[in-house]
Amino acid sequence: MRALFTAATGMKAQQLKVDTIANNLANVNTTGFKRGSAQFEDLYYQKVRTGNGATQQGTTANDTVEVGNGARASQVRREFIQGSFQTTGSQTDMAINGKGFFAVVNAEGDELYTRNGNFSIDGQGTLVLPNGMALAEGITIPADATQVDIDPDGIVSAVVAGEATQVGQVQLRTFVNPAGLDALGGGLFRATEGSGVAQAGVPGTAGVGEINGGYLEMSNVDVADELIQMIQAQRAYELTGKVIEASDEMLQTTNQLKR
Amino acid sequence: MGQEIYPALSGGLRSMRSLDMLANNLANVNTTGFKSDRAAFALEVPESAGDPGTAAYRLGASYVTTTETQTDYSQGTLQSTGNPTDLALLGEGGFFRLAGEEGSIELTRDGSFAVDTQGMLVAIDGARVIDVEGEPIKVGDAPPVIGADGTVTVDGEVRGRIAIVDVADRSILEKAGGNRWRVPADTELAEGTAHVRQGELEGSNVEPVRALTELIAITRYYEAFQKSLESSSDLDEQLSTRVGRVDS
Repeated sequence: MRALFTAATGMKAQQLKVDTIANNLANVNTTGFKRGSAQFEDLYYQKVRTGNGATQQGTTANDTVEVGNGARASQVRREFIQGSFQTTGSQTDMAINGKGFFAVVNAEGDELYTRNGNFSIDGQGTLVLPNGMALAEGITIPADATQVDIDPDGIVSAVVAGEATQVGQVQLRTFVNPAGLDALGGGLFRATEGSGVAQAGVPGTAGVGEINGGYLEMSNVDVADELIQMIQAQRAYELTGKVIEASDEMLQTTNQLKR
Repeated sequence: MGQEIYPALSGGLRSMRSLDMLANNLANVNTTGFKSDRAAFALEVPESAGDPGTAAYRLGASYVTTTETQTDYSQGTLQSTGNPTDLALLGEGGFFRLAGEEGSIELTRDGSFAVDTQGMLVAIDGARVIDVEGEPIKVGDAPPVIGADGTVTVDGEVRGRIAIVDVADRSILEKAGGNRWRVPADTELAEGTAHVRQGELEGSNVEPVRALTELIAITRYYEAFQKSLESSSDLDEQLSTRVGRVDS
Protein backbone atom coordinates (compact mmCIF):
# COMPACT_ATOMS: atom_id res chain seq x y z
CA MET A 1 0.00 0.00 0.00
CA ARG A 2 1.88 2.98 -1.39
CA ALA A 3 -0.56 5.57 0.02
CA LEU A 4 0.81 5.13 3.55
CA PHE A 5 4.34 6.11 2.55
CA THR A 6 3.20 8.82 0.15
CA ALA A 7 1.15 10.44 2.90
CA ALA A 8 4.11 10.19 5.28
CA THR A 9 6.31 12.19 2.87
CA GLY A 10 3.62 14.88 2.90
CA MET A 11 3.57 14.94 6.69
CA LYS A 12 7.36 15.23 6.80
CA ALA A 13 7.24 18.13 4.35
CA GLN A 14 4.67 19.98 6.45
CA GLN A 15 6.72 19.31 9.57
CA LEU A 16 9.67 21.06 7.94
CA LYS A 17 7.44 23.99 7.06
CA VAL A 18 6.34 24.29 10.69
CA ASP A 19 9.98 24.04 11.84
CA THR A 20 10.94 26.87 9.47
CA ILE A 21 8.03 29.01 10.68
CA ALA A 22 8.99 28.35 14.31
CA ASN A 23 12.51 29.59 13.60
CA ASN A 24 11.13 32.69 11.85
CA LEU A 25 8.81 33.47 14.75
CA ALA A 26 11.61 32.95 17.27
CA ASN A 27 13.60 35.59 15.37
CA VAL A 28 10.85 38.15 15.01
CA ASN A 29 12.93 40.62 17.05
CA THR A 30 16.40 39.61 15.81
CA THR A 31 18.23 42.51 14.18
CA GLY A 32 18.85 41.96 10.47
CA PHE A 33 17.19 38.51 10.48
CA LYS A 34 15.94 37.26 7.12
CA ARG A 35 13.02 34.85 7.12
CA GLY A 36 13.27 31.36 5.69
CA SER A 37 10.63 29.88 3.45
CA ALA A 38 10.28 26.14 2.88
CA GLN A 39 9.73 25.16 -0.76
CA PHE A 40 8.44 21.78 -1.86
CA GLU A 41 8.52 19.68 -4.97
CA ASP A 42 6.78 16.50 -6.00
CA LEU A 43 8.75 13.24 -5.93
CA TYR A 44 9.24 11.02 -8.95
CA TYR A 45 6.28 9.34 -10.59
CA GLN A 46 6.10 5.63 -11.08
CA LYS A 47 4.57 4.35 -14.27
CA VAL A 48 2.35 1.49 -13.26
CA ARG A 49 1.12 1.04 -16.79
CA THR A 50 2.75 2.29 -19.95
CA GLY A 51 0.21 2.88 -22.66
CA ASN A 52 0.69 1.39 -26.10
CA GLY A 53 -1.52 4.05 -27.62
CA ALA A 54 -3.89 1.64 -29.35
CA THR A 55 -7.54 1.33 -28.49
CA GLN A 56 -10.18 -1.16 -29.57
CA GLN A 57 -11.64 1.46 -31.85
CA GLY A 58 -8.36 1.71 -33.72
CA THR A 59 -7.66 5.24 -32.49
CA THR A 60 -4.67 6.21 -30.39
CA ALA A 61 -4.85 7.30 -26.81
CA ASN A 62 -2.34 8.13 -24.16
CA ASP A 63 -3.26 5.58 -21.56
CA THR A 64 -0.26 5.81 -19.28
CA VAL A 65 -0.95 5.44 -15.58
CA GLU A 66 1.50 7.35 -13.41
CA VAL A 67 1.33 7.33 -9.64
CA GLY A 68 3.26 9.96 -7.67
CA ASN A 69 5.24 9.19 -4.56
CA GLY A 70 4.57 12.32 -2.53
CA ALA A 71 6.48 15.51 -1.79
CA ARG A 72 9.79 16.63 -0.37
CA ALA A 73 11.44 19.89 0.57
CA SER A 74 13.41 21.30 -2.32
CA GLN A 75 14.98 24.07 -0.27
CA VAL A 76 14.50 26.42 2.63
CA ARG A 77 14.93 29.67 0.83
CA ARG A 78 16.14 32.71 2.68
CA GLU A 79 14.10 35.75 1.72
CA PHE A 80 16.41 38.79 1.56
CA ILE A 81 13.54 41.24 1.61
CA GLN A 82 14.29 44.59 3.24
CA GLY A 83 13.38 44.82 6.93
CA SER A 84 12.05 48.02 8.47
CA PHE A 85 14.26 50.47 10.38
CA GLN A 86 14.30 51.29 14.02
CA THR A 87 16.05 54.30 15.48
CA THR A 88 18.30 53.34 18.38
CA GLY A 89 20.07 56.46 19.63
CA SER A 90 23.44 54.73 19.30
CA GLN A 91 25.58 56.67 16.83
CA THR A 92 27.55 53.61 15.72
CA ASP A 93 24.49 51.53 14.74
CA MET A 94 24.01 51.11 11.00
CA ALA A 95 21.17 49.80 8.86
CA ILE A 96 21.48 48.97 5.17
CA ASN A 97 18.76 50.14 2.83
CA GLY A 98 19.45 47.99 -0.22
CA LYS A 99 20.95 44.60 -0.97
CA GLY A 100 24.49 44.96 0.44
CA PHE A 101 26.06 43.25 3.47
CA PHE A 102 28.59 44.39 6.06
CA ALA A 103 31.85 42.43 5.96
CA VAL A 104 33.34 41.41 9.30
CA VAL A 105 36.43 39.38 10.17
CA ASN A 106 36.29 36.41 12.54
CA ALA A 107 39.07 35.12 14.83
CA GLU A 108 40.52 32.95 12.01
CA GLY A 109 40.78 35.99 9.74
CA ASP A 110 37.98 34.83 7.43
CA GLU A 111 35.59 37.37 6.02
CA LEU A 112 31.95 36.82 7.00
CA TYR A 113 28.90 38.85 6.01
CA THR A 114 25.96 40.20 7.95
CA ARG A 115 22.98 42.51 7.73
CA ASN A 116 23.21 43.19 11.43
CA GLY A 117 24.67 46.68 11.86
CA ASN A 118 24.69 46.63 15.66
CA PHE A 119 28.26 47.97 15.93
CA SER A 120 29.86 49.44 19.03
CA ILE A 121 33.31 50.67 20.01
CA ASP A 122 35.58 48.20 21.79
CA GLY A 123 38.53 48.86 24.16
CA GLN A 124 40.86 49.66 21.23
CA GLY A 125 38.34 52.04 19.68
CA THR A 126 37.53 49.62 16.85
CA LEU A 127 33.98 49.24 15.46
CA VAL A 128 32.90 45.70 16.38
CA LEU A 129 29.76 43.55 16.46
CA PRO A 130 28.45 42.35 19.85
CA ASN A 131 30.33 39.05 19.20
CA GLY A 132 33.62 40.97 18.94
CA MET A 133 34.11 40.63 15.17
CA ALA A 134 35.49 43.83 13.69
CA LEU A 135 34.37 45.50 10.47
CA ALA A 136 36.64 44.34 7.64
CA GLU A 137 37.55 47.96 6.91
CA GLY A 138 39.04 48.22 10.43
CA ILE A 139 37.62 51.56 11.47
CA THR A 140 38.97 53.01 14.72
CA ILE A 141 37.28 55.84 16.57
CA PRO A 142 39.62 58.11 18.57
CA ALA A 143 39.19 57.72 22.32
CA ASP A 144 38.47 61.41 22.85
CA ALA A 145 35.73 61.60 20.20
CA THR A 146 32.55 63.26 21.47
CA GLN A 147 30.37 62.30 18.51
CA VAL A 148 30.40 59.80 15.61
CA ASP A 149 28.58 60.48 12.34
CA ILE A 150 27.98 57.90 9.64
CA ASP A 151 26.64 59.32 6.40
CA PRO A 152 24.65 57.41 3.72
CA ASP A 153 27.85 56.95 1.65
CA GLY A 154 29.45 55.04 4.53
CA ILE A 155 31.89 57.78 5.51
CA VAL A 156 32.51 57.62 9.26
CA SER A 157 33.57 60.86 10.90
CA ALA A 158 34.43 61.52 14.52
CA VAL A 159 34.14 64.87 16.26
CA VAL A 160 37.22 65.54 18.39
CA ALA A 161 37.43 68.84 20.28
CA GLY A 162 34.58 70.28 18.21
CA GLU A 163 36.24 69.38 14.90
CA ALA A 164 34.91 66.60 12.59
CA THR A 165 37.50 64.38 10.90
CA GLN A 166 36.96 61.42 8.61
CA VAL A 167 38.14 58.22 10.28
CA GLY A 168 37.06 55.60 7.77
CA GLN A 169 34.80 54.43 4.99
CA VAL A 170 32.41 51.51 5.41
CA GLN A 171 32.12 49.40 2.29
CA LEU A 172 29.33 47.00 1.54
CA ARG A 173 29.48 43.61 -0.23
CA THR A 174 26.96 42.34 -2.71
CA PHE A 175 26.37 38.84 -4.10
CA VAL A 176 24.89 37.79 -7.39
CA ASN A 177 22.80 35.16 -5.61
CA PRO A 178 22.46 36.00 -1.89
CA ALA A 179 20.07 33.03 -1.45
CA GLY A 180 23.15 30.83 -1.93
CA LEU A 181 24.92 32.22 1.17
CA ASP A 182 25.63 29.76 3.95
CA ALA A 183 23.93 30.90 7.19
CA LEU A 184 26.20 30.34 10.18
CA GLY A 185 23.82 31.60 12.88
CA GLY A 186 24.30 34.83 14.80
CA GLY A 187 23.18 36.67 11.66
CA LEU A 188 26.45 35.76 9.91
CA PHE A 189 26.83 34.35 6.43
CA ARG A 190 29.71 32.77 4.54
CA ALA A 191 30.16 33.09 0.77
CA THR A 192 29.77 29.83 -1.15
CA GLU A 193 30.06 28.72 -4.76
CA GLY A 194 26.29 29.18 -4.98
CA SER A 195 26.31 32.77 -3.79
CA GLY A 196 29.30 33.87 -5.86
CA VAL A 197 32.26 35.96 -4.69
CA ALA A 198 31.60 39.07 -2.60
CA GLN A 199 31.81 42.28 -4.63
CA ALA A 200 32.83 45.34 -2.66
CA GLY A 201 30.93 48.52 -3.35
CA VAL A 202 30.74 52.02 -1.93
CA PRO A 203 27.39 52.64 -0.21
CA GLY A 204 25.11 54.89 -2.20
CA THR A 205 26.22 53.54 -5.58
CA ALA A 206 23.69 51.65 -7.70
CA GLY A 207 22.64 48.23 -6.47
CA VAL A 208 24.63 48.34 -3.22
CA GLY A 209 22.37 50.26 -0.86
CA GLU A 210 22.78 53.16 1.53
CA ILE A 211 23.74 53.19 5.17
CA ASN A 212 21.45 54.73 7.74
CA GLY A 213 23.57 55.71 10.77
CA GLY A 214 21.82 55.51 14.13
CA TYR A 215 19.32 52.93 12.90
CA LEU A 216 19.07 49.14 12.98
CA GLU A 217 17.34 46.92 10.44
CA MET A 218 14.59 44.89 12.06
CA SER A 219 13.78 41.28 11.28
CA ASN A 220 11.75 40.93 8.07
CA VAL A 221 9.43 38.35 9.67
CA ASP A 222 5.78 39.32 9.44
CA VAL A 223 4.01 37.63 12.36
CA ALA A 224 0.55 37.60 10.76
CA ASP A 225 1.96 36.07 7.59
CA GLU A 226 3.83 33.38 9.54
CA LEU A 227 0.75 32.48 11.56
CA ILE A 228 -1.33 32.06 8.41
CA GLN A 229 1.36 29.84 6.94
CA MET A 230 1.46 27.84 10.15
CA ILE A 231 -2.31 27.23 10.02
CA GLN A 232 -1.88 26.14 6.41
CA ALA A 233 0.91 23.72 7.27
CA GLN A 234 -0.92 22.33 10.28
CA ARG A 235 -4.10 21.66 8.29
CA ALA A 236 -2.13 20.04 5.49
CA TYR A 237 -0.47 17.83 8.10
CA GLU A 238 -3.87 16.78 9.39
CA LEU A 239 -5.12 16.08 5.88
CA THR A 240 -2.26 13.75 5.03
CA GLY A 241 -2.80 12.14 8.43
CA LYS A 242 -6.36 11.37 7.33
CA VAL A 243 -4.96 9.44 4.35
CA ILE A 244 -2.90 7.33 6.71
CA GLU A 245 -6.02 6.67 8.77
CA ALA A 246 -7.96 5.68 5.65
CA SER A 247 -5.13 3.41 4.48
CA ASP A 248 -5.11 1.77 7.86
CA GLU A 249 -8.89 1.31 7.70
CA MET A 250 -8.62 -0.31 4.28
CA LEU A 251 -5.88 -2.65 5.47
CA GLN A 252 -8.11 -3.59 8.38
CA THR A 253 -10.92 -4.35 5.94
CA THR A 254 -8.49 -6.45 3.92
CA ASN A 255 -7.61 -8.43 6.99
CA GLN A 256 -11.28 -9.19 7.54
CA LEU A 257 -11.67 -10.67 4.05
CA LYS A 258 -10.69 -14.13 5.25
CA ARG A 259 -12.52 -14.97 8.41
CA MET B 1 -15.74 -19.86 -4.90
CA GLY B 2 -16.97 -18.87 -8.34
CA GLN B 3 -15.43 -16.38 -10.69
CA GLU B 4 -17.86 -13.68 -9.53
CA ILE B 5 -15.27 -12.60 -6.97
CA TYR B 6 -12.87 -11.31 -9.62
CA PRO B 7 -14.94 -8.31 -10.75
CA ALA B 8 -15.26 -7.39 -7.07
CA LEU B 9 -11.52 -7.77 -6.67
CA SER B 10 -10.88 -5.43 -9.61
CA GLY B 11 -13.06 -2.86 -7.83
CA GLY B 12 -11.05 -3.29 -4.65
CA LEU B 13 -7.79 -2.75 -6.50
CA ARG B 14 -9.29 0.34 -8.09
CA SER B 15 -9.91 1.79 -4.62
CA MET B 16 -6.28 1.15 -3.66
CA ARG B 17 -5.02 2.88 -6.80
CA SER B 18 -7.29 5.87 -6.17
CA LEU B 19 -6.03 6.14 -2.63
CA ASP B 20 -2.40 6.11 -3.82
CA MET B 21 -3.11 9.04 -6.14
CA LEU B 22 -5.09 10.90 -3.51
CA ALA B 23 -2.20 10.48 -1.05
CA ASN B 24 0.13 12.07 -3.60
CA ASN B 25 -2.27 14.98 -4.13
CA LEU B 26 -2.58 15.64 -0.43
CA ALA B 27 1.17 15.30 0.16
CA ASN B 28 1.54 18.10 -2.40
CA VAL B 29 -1.11 20.41 -0.98
CA ASN B 30 1.60 23.03 -0.31
CA THR B 31 3.79 22.35 -3.35
CA THR B 32 4.23 25.37 -5.63
CA GLY B 33 2.61 24.94 -9.05
CA PHE B 34 1.38 21.40 -8.32
CA LYS B 35 -1.54 20.09 -10.38
CA SER B 36 -3.65 17.30 -8.93
CA ASP B 37 -4.05 13.88 -10.54
CA ARG B 38 -6.89 11.44 -10.67
CA ALA B 39 -7.12 7.95 -12.05
CA ALA B 40 -9.54 7.30 -14.89
CA PHE B 41 -11.24 3.91 -14.86
CA ALA B 42 -13.04 1.93 -17.49
CA LEU B 43 -15.14 -1.18 -17.55
CA GLU B 44 -13.44 -3.99 -19.38
CA VAL B 45 -15.63 -6.79 -20.70
CA PRO B 46 -13.94 -10.01 -21.80
CA GLU B 47 -14.75 -11.24 -25.31
CA SER B 48 -16.28 -14.42 -23.89
CA ALA B 49 -19.13 -12.30 -22.54
CA GLY B 50 -20.74 -12.22 -25.98
CA ASP B 51 -22.60 -9.40 -27.71
CA PRO B 52 -23.57 -6.27 -25.82
CA GLY B 53 -27.30 -6.16 -25.09
CA THR B 54 -27.72 -9.89 -24.61
CA ALA B 55 -28.58 -11.34 -21.23
CA ALA B 56 -25.34 -13.33 -21.23
CA TYR B 57 -23.38 -10.09 -21.65
CA ARG B 58 -25.12 -8.39 -18.76
CA LEU B 59 -24.56 -11.36 -16.50
CA GLY B 60 -21.03 -11.90 -17.70
CA ALA B 61 -18.05 -10.88 -15.61
CA SER B 62 -16.72 -7.38 -16.23
CA TYR B 63 -13.70 -5.77 -14.67
CA VAL B 64 -12.66 -2.27 -13.71
CA THR B 65 -9.23 -1.23 -14.96
CA THR B 66 -7.22 1.93 -14.48
CA THR B 67 -6.88 3.40 -17.93
CA GLU B 68 -4.90 6.59 -17.41
CA THR B 69 -3.80 9.31 -15.05
CA GLN B 70 -5.70 12.51 -15.68
CA THR B 71 -4.22 15.76 -14.46
CA ASP B 72 -6.40 18.69 -13.49
CA TYR B 73 -4.69 21.78 -14.93
CA SER B 74 -6.95 24.33 -13.22
CA GLN B 75 -5.41 27.47 -11.75
CA GLY B 76 -3.89 27.33 -8.27
CA THR B 77 -4.25 30.28 -5.90
CA LEU B 78 -1.66 33.05 -6.18
CA GLN B 79 0.33 33.95 -3.09
CA SER B 80 2.32 37.14 -2.79
CA THR B 81 5.96 36.71 -1.72
CA GLY B 82 7.48 40.09 -2.60
CA ASN B 83 10.51 38.35 -4.11
CA PRO B 84 11.26 39.91 -7.54
CA THR B 85 12.34 36.60 -9.08
CA ASP B 86 9.19 34.76 -7.95
CA LEU B 87 6.84 34.45 -10.90
CA ALA B 88 3.35 33.03 -11.09
CA LEU B 89 1.35 32.16 -14.18
CA LEU B 90 -2.17 33.51 -14.21
CA GLY B 91 -4.33 31.52 -16.61
CA GLU B 92 -4.37 27.80 -17.23
CA GLY B 93 -2.86 27.99 -20.70
CA GLY B 94 0.88 27.98 -20.32
CA PHE B 95 4.08 26.76 -18.68
CA PHE B 96 7.56 28.14 -18.09
CA ARG B 97 10.16 26.36 -20.15
CA LEU B 98 13.41 25.20 -18.55
CA ALA B 99 16.62 24.03 -20.16
CA GLY B 100 16.27 20.34 -19.38
CA GLU B 101 18.24 17.27 -20.28
CA GLU B 102 19.25 16.77 -23.89
CA GLY B 103 16.44 15.28 -25.94
CA SER B 104 13.53 16.52 -23.89
CA ILE B 105 11.68 19.70 -23.07
CA GLU B 106 10.96 20.51 -19.44
CA LEU B 107 7.97 22.59 -18.44
CA THR B 108 6.93 23.91 -15.04
CA ARG B 109 4.33 26.08 -13.31
CA ASP B 110 6.66 26.58 -10.34
CA GLY B 111 8.11 30.07 -10.81
CA SER B 112 10.20 30.25 -7.61
CA PHE B 113 13.23 31.32 -9.59
CA ALA B 114 16.58 32.72 -8.48
CA VAL B 115 19.68 34.17 -10.11
CA ASP B 116 22.75 31.92 -10.35
CA THR B 117 26.43 32.95 -10.08
CA GLN B 118 26.53 33.71 -13.82
CA GLY B 119 23.59 36.08 -13.34
CA MET B 120 21.16 33.80 -15.19
CA LEU B 121 17.53 33.31 -14.18
CA VAL B 122 17.27 29.72 -12.90
CA ALA B 123 14.87 27.31 -11.19
CA ILE B 124 15.62 26.01 -7.68
CA ASP B 125 17.79 23.14 -8.97
CA GLY B 126 19.80 25.43 -11.26
CA ALA B 127 18.03 24.67 -14.55
CA ARG B 128 17.96 27.83 -16.65
CA VAL B 129 14.74 29.55 -17.62
CA ILE B 130 14.40 29.83 -21.40
CA ASP B 131 13.24 32.92 -23.28
CA VAL B 132 11.19 33.05 -26.49
CA GLU B 133 14.40 32.79 -28.55
CA GLY B 134 15.39 29.59 -26.74
CA GLU B 135 18.21 31.34 -24.86
CA PRO B 136 18.81 31.70 -21.10
CA ILE B 137 18.02 35.10 -19.59
CA LYS B 138 20.80 37.17 -18.02
CA VAL B 139 19.49 39.21 -15.12
CA GLY B 140 22.72 40.14 -13.34
CA ASP B 141 22.70 41.49 -9.80
CA ALA B 142 20.09 44.25 -10.12
CA PRO B 143 16.45 43.43 -9.39
CA PRO B 144 14.57 42.67 -12.63
CA VAL B 145 11.20 44.08 -13.63
CA ILE B 146 9.12 41.41 -15.32
CA GLY B 147 6.02 42.35 -17.27
CA ALA B 148 2.77 40.42 -17.74
CA ASP B 149 4.01 39.12 -21.12
CA GLY B 150 7.25 37.88 -19.53
CA THR B 151 9.53 40.70 -20.72
CA VAL B 152 12.51 40.98 -18.38
CA THR B 153 13.84 44.51 -17.94
CA VAL B 154 16.91 45.31 -15.86
CA ASP B 155 17.88 48.99 -15.34
CA GLY B 156 15.66 49.97 -18.27
CA GLU B 157 17.29 47.47 -20.62
CA VAL B 158 15.26 44.58 -22.06
CA ARG B 159 17.08 41.29 -21.40
CA GLY B 160 14.64 38.93 -23.11
CA ARG B 161 11.11 37.65 -22.88
CA ILE B 162 10.41 34.55 -20.80
CA ALA B 163 8.87 31.82 -22.92
CA ILE B 164 5.32 30.88 -21.92
CA VAL B 165 4.57 27.74 -23.88
CA ASP B 166 1.76 25.25 -24.20
CA VAL B 167 1.14 21.99 -26.00
CA ALA B 168 -1.94 21.25 -28.09
CA ASP B 169 -2.49 17.84 -26.50
CA ARG B 170 -1.94 17.92 -22.73
CA SER B 171 -2.08 14.12 -22.50
CA ILE B 172 1.51 13.90 -23.78
CA LEU B 173 2.76 15.78 -20.71
CA GLU B 174 4.52 13.43 -18.37
CA LYS B 175 5.16 14.34 -14.73
CA ALA B 176 8.86 14.05 -14.01
CA GLY B 177 8.97 15.04 -10.32
CA GLY B 178 10.61 18.26 -9.13
CA ASN B 179 7.46 20.16 -10.19
CA ARG B 180 8.25 19.44 -13.85
CA TRP B 181 6.58 17.96 -16.85
CA ARG B 182 8.65 16.40 -19.59
CA VAL B 183 7.78 16.13 -23.26
CA PRO B 184 9.88 14.80 -26.17
CA ALA B 185 12.19 17.38 -27.79
CA ASP B 186 10.36 17.23 -31.13
CA THR B 187 7.06 18.33 -29.58
CA GLU B 188 5.55 21.34 -31.26
CA LEU B 189 5.15 24.12 -28.71
CA ALA B 190 2.49 26.78 -29.01
CA GLU B 191 2.53 30.18 -27.35
CA GLY B 192 0.75 30.04 -23.99
CA THR B 193 -2.07 32.40 -23.06
CA ALA B 194 -1.14 32.74 -19.38
CA HIS B 195 0.17 36.02 -17.95
CA VAL B 196 3.16 36.45 -15.68
CA ARG B 197 2.72 37.97 -12.23
CA GLN B 198 5.94 39.12 -10.62
CA GLY B 199 6.44 38.69 -6.86
CA GLU B 200 3.84 35.95 -6.57
CA LEU B 201 3.80 32.16 -6.61
CA GLU B 202 1.07 29.82 -7.74
CA GLY B 203 -0.02 27.44 -4.99
CA SER B 204 -1.09 23.83 -5.42
CA ASN B 205 -4.54 23.34 -6.96
CA VAL B 206 -5.40 20.47 -4.61
CA GLU B 207 -8.74 21.22 -2.96
CA PRO B 208 -8.81 19.73 0.54
CA VAL B 209 -12.64 19.52 0.65
CA ARG B 210 -12.82 17.55 -2.56
CA ALA B 211 -9.90 15.36 -1.56
CA LEU B 212 -11.49 14.48 1.78
CA THR B 213 -14.80 13.66 0.12
CA GLU B 214 -12.95 11.38 -2.30
CA LEU B 215 -11.16 9.80 0.63
CA ILE B 216 -14.47 8.92 2.29
CA ALA B 217 -15.83 7.57 -1.01
CA ILE B 218 -12.75 5.40 -1.55
CA THR B 219 -12.91 3.79 1.88
CA ARG B 220 -16.66 3.11 1.43
CA TYR B 221 -16.07 1.53 -1.99
CA TYR B 222 -13.50 -0.68 -0.42
CA GLU B 223 -15.95 -1.75 2.29
CA ALA B 224 -18.51 -2.53 -0.40
CA PHE B 225 -15.91 -4.71 -2.12
CA GLN B 226 -15.37 -6.56 1.13
CA LYS B 227 -19.13 -7.03 1.59
CA SER B 228 -19.60 -8.45 -1.89
CA LEU B 229 -16.72 -10.83 -1.31
CA GLU B 230 -18.29 -11.87 1.97
CA SER B 231 -21.67 -12.56 0.43
CA SER B 232 -20.20 -14.60 -2.40
CA SER B 233 -18.29 -16.56 0.18
CA ASP B 234 -21.56 -17.11 2.08
CA LEU B 235 -23.21 -18.36 -1.10
CA ASP B 236 -20.32 -20.74 -1.58
CA GLU B 237 -20.68 -22.01 1.91
CA GLN B 238 -24.36 -22.66 1.45
CA LEU B 239 -23.64 -24.40 -1.82
CA SER B 240 -21.24 -26.83 -0.22
CA THR B 241 -23.24 -27.50 2.91
CA ARG B 242 -26.88 -27.40 1.82
CA VAL B 243 -27.11 -28.64 -1.76
CA GLY B 244 -28.20 -32.23 -1.80
CA ARG B 245 -29.40 -32.20 1.78
CA VAL B 246 -33.07 -32.87 2.36
CA ASP B 247 -34.40 -30.88 5.24
CA SER B 248 -36.74 -32.87 7.35
